[in-house]
Amino acid sequence: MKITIKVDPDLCIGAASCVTVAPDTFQMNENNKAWVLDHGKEPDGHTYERTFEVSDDEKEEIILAAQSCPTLAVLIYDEEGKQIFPEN
Amino acid sequence: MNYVIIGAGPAGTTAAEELRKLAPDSHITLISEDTESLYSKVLLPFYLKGKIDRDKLFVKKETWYVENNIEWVAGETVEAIDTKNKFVAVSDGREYPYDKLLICSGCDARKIEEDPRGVSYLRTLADADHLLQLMNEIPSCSHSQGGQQGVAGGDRECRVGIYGGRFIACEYLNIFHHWGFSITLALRGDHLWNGILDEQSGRLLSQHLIEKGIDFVPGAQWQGTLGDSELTGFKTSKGEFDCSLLGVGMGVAPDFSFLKDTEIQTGVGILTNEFLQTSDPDVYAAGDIAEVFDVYARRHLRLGIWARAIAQGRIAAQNMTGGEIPFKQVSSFSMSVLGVDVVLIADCDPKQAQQVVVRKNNDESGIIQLFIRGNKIVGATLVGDVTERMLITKKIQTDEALPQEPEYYQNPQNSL
Repeated sequence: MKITIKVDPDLCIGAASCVTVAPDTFQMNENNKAWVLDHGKEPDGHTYERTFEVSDDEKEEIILAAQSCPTLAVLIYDEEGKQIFPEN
Repeated sequence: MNYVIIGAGPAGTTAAEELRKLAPDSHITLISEDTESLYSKVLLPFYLKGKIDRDKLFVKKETWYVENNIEWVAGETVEAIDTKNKFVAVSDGREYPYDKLLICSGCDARKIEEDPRGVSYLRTLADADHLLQLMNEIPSCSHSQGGQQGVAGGDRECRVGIYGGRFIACEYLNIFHHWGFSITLALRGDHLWNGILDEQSGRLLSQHLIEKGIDFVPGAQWQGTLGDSELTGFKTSKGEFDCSLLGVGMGVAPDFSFLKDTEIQTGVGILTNEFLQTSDPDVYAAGDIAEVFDVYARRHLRLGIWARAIAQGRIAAQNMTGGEIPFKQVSSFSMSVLGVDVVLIADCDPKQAQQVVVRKNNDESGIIQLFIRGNKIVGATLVGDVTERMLITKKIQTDEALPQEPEYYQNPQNSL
């Protein structure tokens, strides 16, 4: 399934817990904020937002990474664009 | 099975969520002093700077608990635990029996003796709401223009004070600076994070604060507040300072009073093995109150970090349901202090290191301390330039001996 992952750089404080939990999806940049990766790669360069295919396990790991963020700076949307984390 | 969890913060709530998944037919009771559903304390500074609305603080809706069949006993305190008969006595007069118990009751802010209006703490949402109220009461001066620098040496009404030298004091700095108040920061140590940061890292931060117009008063022993029912200032061994609002950051302390009838061992926190199990095999601990045997540091650590609490909550639940999974995480703490990045990774107590290596970049705008024990990096501090933080984190995780002598890593040209 496809999911969209967005890091809000205004909320990101550089805790880097997302990188610890899902190192193929998040990477710290020189401003101590997290870029979003697609399976370890950055097609079209650095970005705070990506949409790509994930397996069930990969989605689970990415949601765990979002939960680990102390400032809820990682937002996740499903294929229909509905926000699945944080739950609101 | 009856699972009882004390504390509904990130560790307790995550544990409850995981237990519900792993043991769908079990009875789960979550007892908390808080009456709010889970919110992030780390987001409070954003709320206090007006960057997010109050409702964005919450991680779980109030209805989440009942929707997941979790009995949430809110607004009550645990008075005692009977580990022989396995029940928890609560201020609502009830006794909650358990098969397995998890303690995630966290830590409270250390308070000063006096309580005039104008004293602020920054631990809970109630503290944050109170601080907003206090800031709004400060008469309009240049701060009301939102973000502009306060008038240096301006009248008392515009001046705020901070007492403390670590994380919370720095959050107050960021918040007060955002609103343009004139700030006096007094602290007991010679520099911020005294006892953790080396002199050079400390000096880098001190100079930065002074350049930003902060009245910086190190080496100041706390002596008390000034004013009766309304704060007018505070006094220290370095003198008296006027202010109408004082942010206090004197650290946190756990409350062990409810353990008095048990033989559960404590140190600076509740001691656990790497499986988060206390000295009583049916009692576990997680989060800020837990002093866990850390498999990387090879000693017990108590670290108050959100991601650590979340991960510990999950692992505790897995082990309470029959698992035997060690908690393994190289945790780090990261913040920006008026624009200078500070990262503290894992075990960064210099007194526990066999060797401390200082590594500076060429213009000394970035200073790193590496803490080494048993020829391995066990922790680090980074101030200014934090780009090597993930490399250092990985080095700790791989748990391998350093290939070179520690002194080799002083030179920033030599890669880690």
